[in-house]
Amino acid sequence: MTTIRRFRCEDLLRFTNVNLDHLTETFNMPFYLTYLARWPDYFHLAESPSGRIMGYIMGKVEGQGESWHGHVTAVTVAPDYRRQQLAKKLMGILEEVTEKTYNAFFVDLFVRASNAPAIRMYEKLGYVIYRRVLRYYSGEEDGLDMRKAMPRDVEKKSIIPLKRAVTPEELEYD
Amino acid sequence: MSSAKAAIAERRLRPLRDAIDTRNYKQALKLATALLAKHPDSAYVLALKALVLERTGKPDEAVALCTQAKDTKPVDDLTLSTLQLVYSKLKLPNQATLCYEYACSVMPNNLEVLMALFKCYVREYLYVKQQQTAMKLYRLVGEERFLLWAVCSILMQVGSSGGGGSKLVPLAEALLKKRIDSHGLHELEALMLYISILQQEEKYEAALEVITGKLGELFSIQNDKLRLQGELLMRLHRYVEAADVFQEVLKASSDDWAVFTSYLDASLGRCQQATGGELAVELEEHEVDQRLEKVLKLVSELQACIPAGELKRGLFLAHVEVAKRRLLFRKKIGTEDQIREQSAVLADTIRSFFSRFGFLLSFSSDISEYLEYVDETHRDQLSNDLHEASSQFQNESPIKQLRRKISAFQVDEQLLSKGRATNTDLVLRVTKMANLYVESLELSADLDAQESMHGEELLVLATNLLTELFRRTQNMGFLLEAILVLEFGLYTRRYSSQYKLLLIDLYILISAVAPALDWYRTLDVKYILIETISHLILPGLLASTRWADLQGLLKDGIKFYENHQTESADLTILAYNHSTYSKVLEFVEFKERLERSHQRLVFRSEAAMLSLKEHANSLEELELALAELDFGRIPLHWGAEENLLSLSYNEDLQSRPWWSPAPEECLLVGPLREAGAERNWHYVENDEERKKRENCWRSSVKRRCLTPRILSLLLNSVKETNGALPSGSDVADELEKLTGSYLLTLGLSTDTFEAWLQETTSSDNLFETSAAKPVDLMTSSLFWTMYRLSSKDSKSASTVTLFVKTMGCVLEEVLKVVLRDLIEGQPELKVLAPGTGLPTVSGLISECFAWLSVYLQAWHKQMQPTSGKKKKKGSSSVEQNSVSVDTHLSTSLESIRAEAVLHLEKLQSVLNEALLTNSDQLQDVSNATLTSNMAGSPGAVIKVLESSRCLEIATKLAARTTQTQHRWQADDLLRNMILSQHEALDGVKSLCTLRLNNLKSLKF
Repeated sequence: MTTIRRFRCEDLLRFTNVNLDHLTETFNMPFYLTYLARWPDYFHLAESPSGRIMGYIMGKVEGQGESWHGHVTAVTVAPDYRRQQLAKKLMGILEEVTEKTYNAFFVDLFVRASNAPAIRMYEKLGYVIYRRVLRYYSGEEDGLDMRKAMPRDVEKKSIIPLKRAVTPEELEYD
Repeated sequence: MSSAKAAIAERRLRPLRDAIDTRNYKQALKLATALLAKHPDSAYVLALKALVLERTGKPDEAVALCTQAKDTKPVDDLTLSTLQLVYSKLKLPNQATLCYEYACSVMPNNLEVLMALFKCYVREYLYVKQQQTAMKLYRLVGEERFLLWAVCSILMQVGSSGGGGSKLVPLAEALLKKRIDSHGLHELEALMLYISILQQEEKYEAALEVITGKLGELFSIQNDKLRLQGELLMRLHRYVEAADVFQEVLKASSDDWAVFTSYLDASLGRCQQATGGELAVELEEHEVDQRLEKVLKLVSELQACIPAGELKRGLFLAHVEVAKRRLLFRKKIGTEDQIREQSAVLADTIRSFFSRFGFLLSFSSDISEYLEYVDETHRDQLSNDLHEASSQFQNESPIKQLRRKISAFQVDEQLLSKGRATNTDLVLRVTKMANLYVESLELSADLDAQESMHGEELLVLATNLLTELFRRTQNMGFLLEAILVLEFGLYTRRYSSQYKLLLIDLYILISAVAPALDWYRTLDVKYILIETISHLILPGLLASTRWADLQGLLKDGIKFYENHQTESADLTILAYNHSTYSKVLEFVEFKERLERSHQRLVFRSEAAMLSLKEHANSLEELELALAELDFGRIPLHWGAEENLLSLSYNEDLQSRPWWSPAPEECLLVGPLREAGAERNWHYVENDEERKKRENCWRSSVKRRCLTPRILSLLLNSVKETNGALPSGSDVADELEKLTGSYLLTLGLSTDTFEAWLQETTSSDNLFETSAAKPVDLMTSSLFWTMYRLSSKDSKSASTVTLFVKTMGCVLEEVLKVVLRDLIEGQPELKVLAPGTGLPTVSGLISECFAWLSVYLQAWHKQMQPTSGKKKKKGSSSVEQNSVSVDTHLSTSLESIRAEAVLHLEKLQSVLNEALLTNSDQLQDVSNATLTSNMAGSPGAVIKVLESSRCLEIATKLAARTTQTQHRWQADDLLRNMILSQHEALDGVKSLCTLRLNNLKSLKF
């Protein structure tokens, strides 16, 4: 019972209930506005029947050749709407856009290596750990680069796990 | 034309650019200076040097170099773009525009330069020029994007033309139509812009034709197209087709609630619900039944298709929605009995939804709208049934069972009238919640500390009840218990933001600003959250003497708004570059909305006021602070009527606790306490109340914007010839006008002000009856009196007498409250209670008495014979002569001074006494004072939370984040709270002493 629609600039004034949660980072304005300006179809929110924001997802599409892929920058759900598969729905939208609008090879995301509940969730959604990124988070904690192949990647080449960990400097994209 | 750069070899320029790129500005400056020595006319090097100077904090020198470069009339890209960058940083975008305008006049067909000129106009928000330039670009190369740039620029003129843009939208449409006819469109964003234009013109038929035609292929997500198609069909009242389209969307995405309600609307053949909740439909009952049955049939079919393990609650809430629609229909045509009967059906559907989804965290918010429609006679039964039902799901996991019990309690808050339960009932209910919370802790033992625990809402519910008990009984024990309950919640999991929001407000209420601020900081409020959520802490800080903290908060806020002002245009340009036209319009609108923001005005005006408060101890310092504000003209401009009328209010009030629906509104004590009895927990203000509140905010912020200028004029008036303000002089006129405006913000007028004041100060209960708050009351009286004194009005003596009386009344009333809390209060709980006590005293001392003291200082200085003038030889005769002593004036000033001293001394002694009591309390504090075995007394919840069973598990949970086994220490928390109140008292006392010393040093 969710209405998923594109994120609008004015929604920044209404997402307090989501962003006050400590797991959700509040970015500066250029960050949000850059995503809105460049990848408006990768920025969606879920709204409850009463009009409250339940959660949102922001992402982008980037890369060259077989690295052309969708990326999940942030996905977050307000505490009141957790444990009801909302993140799954939001991820579904992003995957649909990646596949149908941009015909990209895979979707990827980064997650803290310690965030076991999130890793489990992404695995349930079909993501695999592609590689470990050493000290990705503020130079302290390792990040995991997780990927899910889209239909265009018929042989699922994009998700064959790398054997060695990489450093943030080795990453192809920010 | 040869470029300025061409004269210098690239190998010489590279080191300079490298130094800038690597931020080695010292080296860059050296290199630039050396290059300029050889090529003094190189515009590019001048621009680069200006860039370095700007970055090293030398804006004036940078401007001078830019001007020098600009004067060479450069036309090469590098010089122009460098100049644009520097001018942009220097906040002089118009200078960059001039450079590009010249370059375009020289090279009218240069695409790059024209594009850059367009962007210059974007930076200046010059929509007409944007349009003209975009059209030039379009004519030059015929690209779709340039036409869209022009269309966006046209549409923005509609927004800013104040109703004069009626021909602009058709123009935009015509331009696009012509393009479509000849070339079609290639971007979905362009198509969406075209559709939105047609919608603005109510040309739904045409819009429908466009999206169902060839251009519709631009939609890569089919459902996006269908949703829009359905919407347009609804606009055209083609309900049957609309229903079919929505049905198709639901088949692909059955949980889309907005589409389901649209489908329902279409099925019933209507667009909008009529005002008052009635169903605006011209159908017979059997027709309605028939159509709703069809809807339910689809719902059943879709339910059957839900894959195992998928959670789709929309298809089940659909039954509740359908029952509500039937009820609305009955309300229109049915009898009382039929309406009641349908209400019972609605309650049944809610029971069914509870059976299926009562364990979800969002259960109560999902059904909250429907609870309002349940008839009074069915409410108790429904509540009981849900509580009973919550224990009947034995096969479910204990967590789901717990969640159902919580949902039932949450529904109670919305379903049951708050006033009906007795105090004992409430205590009983809150104790049940506490016991359930202990169970929830046990079930949450294995959760990661990052995850919300299973029963967190219980303590929110408990806090709501405890605060209501405080409202009813005014027993501080309940309020302190609420604080401890929330602290306990944060002890077990320190991340819960909902606890923090409530706790911050409770601490602020009782002047314990330090712990409020500590918790606020953990919320990490930054960037856009500053706009929406800083109202949680700002009023509390403003009413305290923690000026360093206040300054930090104000500075961060102002910086956020300034940054967005600076960055916004570049982000709009980014949207143009990426052809996201919908965002171009949104960004511009958003920038304007933030510019007009009420919260921004509060930040700016309070920063101005703080600069005055901080310097109010000496006349000279205050005058300097006023000079920084252009003698108050800057805030006066912010608060100009046209600015106030267009304010936007973006504060998120939904995050506030029930007892404080808006900043500075408290339903627990004072004049609003009775209103608190009537309002339910989840009361939402109606439009009329919202307008009233916004009016009130507007007036309040206007007073803040007026104050600096009034003060400046008053001080100026003292300096005027012989202290007498010639009537008709500019100062006199402006002062009269602004004093009148100030009074008007309080709903008062200059003609009747004294009569009103006379009456108000003679009434028994000053604060309960007066519309004005104490600080406003005294400030208005003070400004009025000072104005009259400056005008040498013949009646000023009676005004002075009235002011002295007002001062006495206000202080007496305020002191009564402080005394009541700390000296005569409950013997075991001598703490500051919510109310008008300390924050008011703080406001009086930091503002009213500050302005009074400075004003008297000004007179005192003026009356000193030749004071401070000795050094200035040859000064004018007016300056050398002291004001001839006017006995009436001196008497008036002296009487005000002497009375103020008297009151401040009394205040000081009360504050001293309060500090002593507070220190005693600090020694004795114990939460044992809360624990009582009497039914209906405070302490019941804490007793449960401090049971050994609960403490044991809570300590383990707490250790997940703190890594240590630190124990729950309620006494420490109470001590901390009292200590913070002590600091608050001490802060006010110090300020009081300062004022007193100041006033004592004067004599008239």
